[in-house]
Amino acid sequence: MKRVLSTVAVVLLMLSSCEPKPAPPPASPPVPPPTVSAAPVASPSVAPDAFREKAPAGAPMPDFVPPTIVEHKLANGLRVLLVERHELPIVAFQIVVDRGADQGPPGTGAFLGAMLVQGSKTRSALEISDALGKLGAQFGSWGSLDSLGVHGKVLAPSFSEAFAILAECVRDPAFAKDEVERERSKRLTMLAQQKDSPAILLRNAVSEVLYPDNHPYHAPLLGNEQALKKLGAKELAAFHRSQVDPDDVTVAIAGDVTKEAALAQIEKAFGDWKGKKPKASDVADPPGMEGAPRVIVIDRPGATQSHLAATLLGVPRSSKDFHALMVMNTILGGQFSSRLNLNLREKHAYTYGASSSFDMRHGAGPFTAGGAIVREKTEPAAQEILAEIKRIIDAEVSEEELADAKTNLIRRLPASFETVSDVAGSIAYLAIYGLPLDEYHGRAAAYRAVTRADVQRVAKRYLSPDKLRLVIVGDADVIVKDLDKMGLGKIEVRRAAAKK
Amino acid sequence: MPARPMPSGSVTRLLGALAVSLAMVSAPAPSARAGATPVAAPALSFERYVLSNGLEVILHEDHKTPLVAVNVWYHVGSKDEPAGKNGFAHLFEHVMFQGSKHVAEDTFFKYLERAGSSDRNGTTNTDRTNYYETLPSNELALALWLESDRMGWLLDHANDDTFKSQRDVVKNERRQNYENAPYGLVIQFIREALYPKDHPYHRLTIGTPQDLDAASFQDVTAFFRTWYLPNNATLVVAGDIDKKAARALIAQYFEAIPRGPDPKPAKGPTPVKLDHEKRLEVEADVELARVVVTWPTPPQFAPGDGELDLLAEVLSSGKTSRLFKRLVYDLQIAQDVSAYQGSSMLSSQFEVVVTVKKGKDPKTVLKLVDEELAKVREKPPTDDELARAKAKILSNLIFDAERITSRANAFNAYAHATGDPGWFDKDVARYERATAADLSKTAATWLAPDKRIVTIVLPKKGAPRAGRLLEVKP
Repeated sequence: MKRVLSTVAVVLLMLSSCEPKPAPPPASPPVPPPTVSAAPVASPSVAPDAFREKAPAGAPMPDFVPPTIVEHKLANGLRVLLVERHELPIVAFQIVVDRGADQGPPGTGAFLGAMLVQGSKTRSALEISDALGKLGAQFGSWGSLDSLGVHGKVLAPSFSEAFAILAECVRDPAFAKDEVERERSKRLTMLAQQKDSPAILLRNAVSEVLYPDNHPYHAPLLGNEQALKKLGAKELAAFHRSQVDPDDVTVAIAGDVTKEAALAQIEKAFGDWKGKKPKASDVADPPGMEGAPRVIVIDRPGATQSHLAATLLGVPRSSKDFHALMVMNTILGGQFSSRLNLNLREKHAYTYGASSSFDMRHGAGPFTAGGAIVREKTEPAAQEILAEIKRIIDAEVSEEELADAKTNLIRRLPASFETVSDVAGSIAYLAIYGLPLDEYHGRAAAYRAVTRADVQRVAKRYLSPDKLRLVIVGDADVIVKDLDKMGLGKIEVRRAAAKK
Repeated sequence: MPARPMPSGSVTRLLGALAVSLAMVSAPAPSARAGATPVAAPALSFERYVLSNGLEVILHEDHKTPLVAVNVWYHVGSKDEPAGKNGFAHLFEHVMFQGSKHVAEDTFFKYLERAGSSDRNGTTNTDRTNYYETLPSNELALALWLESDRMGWLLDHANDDTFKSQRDVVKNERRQNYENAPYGLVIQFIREALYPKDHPYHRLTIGTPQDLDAASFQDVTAFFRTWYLPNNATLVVAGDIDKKAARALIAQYFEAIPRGPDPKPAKGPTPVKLDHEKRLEVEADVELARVVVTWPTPPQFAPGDGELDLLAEVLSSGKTSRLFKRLVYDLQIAQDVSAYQGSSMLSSQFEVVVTVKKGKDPKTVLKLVDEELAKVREKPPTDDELARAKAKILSNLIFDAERITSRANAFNAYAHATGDPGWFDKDVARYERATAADLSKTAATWLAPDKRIVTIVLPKKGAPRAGRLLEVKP
C-alpha cells in the first residue's frame, strides 16, 4: 500500500515538474491563518497609491506556438494526428468519423453514437464498462450532427489497454438486440423528458422553424418517436457500415505516449480493417421561408421566464468569413461584455445572461441571439435584441470594441491546448471540419487582419433583419399581447397537445 | 528500472501499473521515484505566507502552459447570512463584479476578456465565496489589480442602482435554475426537512425571493465590512509565475488594504442527526417521477467522508454498479440513478436520486434501493468493486489537477477546510487506505434504513415545474 501511495506522490510532484529545479521547501515555515484579532478596526478612508488609478499594462504576451501535430496515414487510409506531451502521465484520445447524424434519418446518428460503447465483437456492454472502470478511464461515445466517435482519457500505463477496447468499439460494435432495446427505451423516455426543459424546447423549435421537414437539421438530434420506434439493430448496423470506414476515421491522440508506441497500437487495432465509404452527402441550404410567421411562441403556461431566440440561417464552418464572423459575434453576444449582455443583463436586468452564436456545422447551422427573460419583459427584451442586431449592421463598431474582441480571441488560444483532452479535442476538430494542420498557427494573424469594415460587412451580409424570426418558449397568455405590439405580423402559438 | 512485483489483493492494478511505467517517464524528481519514499514525498509544491494585514497567500509555480490562475476565497458563505437575508452572500458576490474605486461600472469582465482570460467567475456556496480568473501569465498584474481593488475599495463605487439591478439579475438566475427548472426546488424542501430552522444550512444559497427583496444597500456595506477583509481571505496565485516577482506584485497591490476585526464564521450547530424516517410528498409538472433518499453524513474530509465517496461509486458508477445494474440495466424501471456524497463544512448529505420510468412505481424503486443498501451494509463490496471505485476517484483527482484553474482552486479548498493547502496527498491517502470492510461499516453507521429523508416527486399537470411540497410525514 505504501508503494501505491508513493506512486501517486510522484504524479503529484510531476504536476510542478517543469520548474527549473526541484521544488525547494517553503521559504518560510507555513504560518497558521491569523485567528487573534489584534489589529485596529479598518479606517474607512485609505489613500490608494497612484498606480491603482489605471489598469496595469500587461508585460508582453508570452510566445505561444501551438503544438506541432504529427500526421500519419495507415495503408487503409485511417488518419492519425498526434501531439506528444510528456509533462504528466496522461493520454487523451478521440477516434472520430468526420460526418455524423446529418448523413442519416432522424435519430440514427445519435443512437449509433450511444451504442458504440454498449457491446463490441469480443466484449459485452458490462464488460466494456468494467474493463475501462478498472483502468480509471474517463470515456464515452457520441453521435452529433457533424461527427461521431469515442473518446478516452487514462493514465499513461493504461493507454494500450484502453485504446484497444475503445478502438474495437468503433470498428466492431455488436448491436446486441437487448442492448438496442434498452437504449431505445431510454431514448424514448429522454424524448419525453425534453418537454421539461425550456432550453431544449427552444433549441428544437429553432431547428423546426429554420429547416423544412426533410432537411437533416430539422428534427432533434435525439430523433422523434416515430423514427426511434423504427430503428433497430439492423438499421443501426447498416448506418454504421455506411459511415464508419478506415478512410474517414481519424485517431487524435495527445499526451504521454510516443509516436512509435501510439502508431503500434493504432496499427494493431485498425491495420487490417478494410472498407471505403461512399462520399458524404452535402447539407443543402434550406429554401427561404417567405410568408412564414415571424414570431413563434411555444406555450408554456405559468412559466415565469421566456426562453427567447432571434434566429436565422447562419453559415457553415467552411465559411470564408469565419474570422470576421467570430469577431463580429464576440462584440455582439459572444462574451460577457458583449453588447447584448451589457444591454439585457447589466443595463436592464431582464435576464441572468444574454448571448449570441453561430452554430457552424458542415452545413449552415442556426444563428441565435437571446436568453432566458423574465416573463413581464419579454417584448422589450425582444426589441432590444433586434435593436442590437440592427445597430451592428447600421454602424461600424468602435476601434476599442474591435481591438478588445480580437485580443480576447487571440490571447485565449493557449488555453485551448492546456490539458491533453483540450489538445486531443482541438486536433480532432481539424479532422472533423477538414481544416489544415497549421490552422491554429494562422489564427492570430487572421484575427488581426479583421477590420471594422469587415465586421460591418459580415453583419450586413449574414444578419438581415427581414430574415430574423423570434422563437419563444413562454407563457403565451401573458406575452403574446405585448409581442403583437412589435408589428412583426401574425404570431403563431403552438400549444401542447391536449391532455391524454 | 526493473519492473516491480505487482501488488496483491485489493490494490488497484491501475496504480500498480502506474508505478512501473513512471520508471520510464521522463524526469520526475529522483528522490520521489525511489520506491521507499513513502508518505513524506512532496505533493504539489507551494509556498504559503501571510501579509501584515492578515491576507493568506499561496503561490504555486508551474510553467507547462503560459497561463496564470488567480483564485481568491473569502471565508464566508450563505451559512453566515444574517436572519431574514437568505441569498445575500451570493447577491453580494454579484455586486463584487460591478466595479470598485478604480474599476468602472461594467468594466471588470471587459478588462479580463480583452486580456484573453480563458476562465473567470465567482461562485458562492454554503461555506465560502470564491472569485477566480485564468489569463495569459503576462497579465498577472491585471488580475491582482482587479482583485485588490474590490477587496479594498468596493464601497467607493458600489451604489444602490447597481445593487438593485444585480438583485433583479439574481432573481432571474433563480428563475432560470430553480423556479423554472424541473424538480428545481426539491433540494430546498429536503434542506428544510433535514436541517432545523436555526441551522446555517436550513436554506439554499440562492435564497428566497422575499429575503432578496428585503435586502438593501445598507446590507452591502455591513456585509463588506464584516466579511470582506484581507484577514478573512486567501489568495492563490498558480501557474507560469516567478514566485519572487509574484510576491512583490502581491505586496504592492494588497498590503495597503486594512485589516478588520476578525469575523466569526458560523461553525455550528454540529452535524444534524435524524432519529426517524421523514417522508416528503412532492408534486411537480414533470414527465417522470423521482425518488430521493437523503442521509445526514460526516462533514467534508472527516472520517467517513471519503468512504462515502467510494461507496457512491460502488452504488452508481458504471454499468455493473449496484443500483444502476439493478434498476436501470436489469429491471429498466429507472431512467437513471445517481448516488453521491455532497460534502460541506458543517455537515454533508449522502443522496440517492432515482428518476423513475413512466408507468413504474416509485415505491418499488424505493424497495429495491433499500435491498441494495442492505446488501452493502451487511457485506463488504468485492475487491473488483473497490478497485474500480478507487481507480476512478484517484484518476479524476489527477485529471483535475492538470488544469491550472482547478489546481488553484484545490489549494484554496484544502486550505479552507483543513488549514493545509497541501492536503492533496492526504486526500489521495484517505481513498487509498479505505478497505471494503470500511465501506460496509460506513454504510451501516451512516446510511441507516430508518434515519433518513425519503422524498417522492410525482408528476402532476398544472403543478409548479420546480415542485410543490404537499406533506411532510411525520
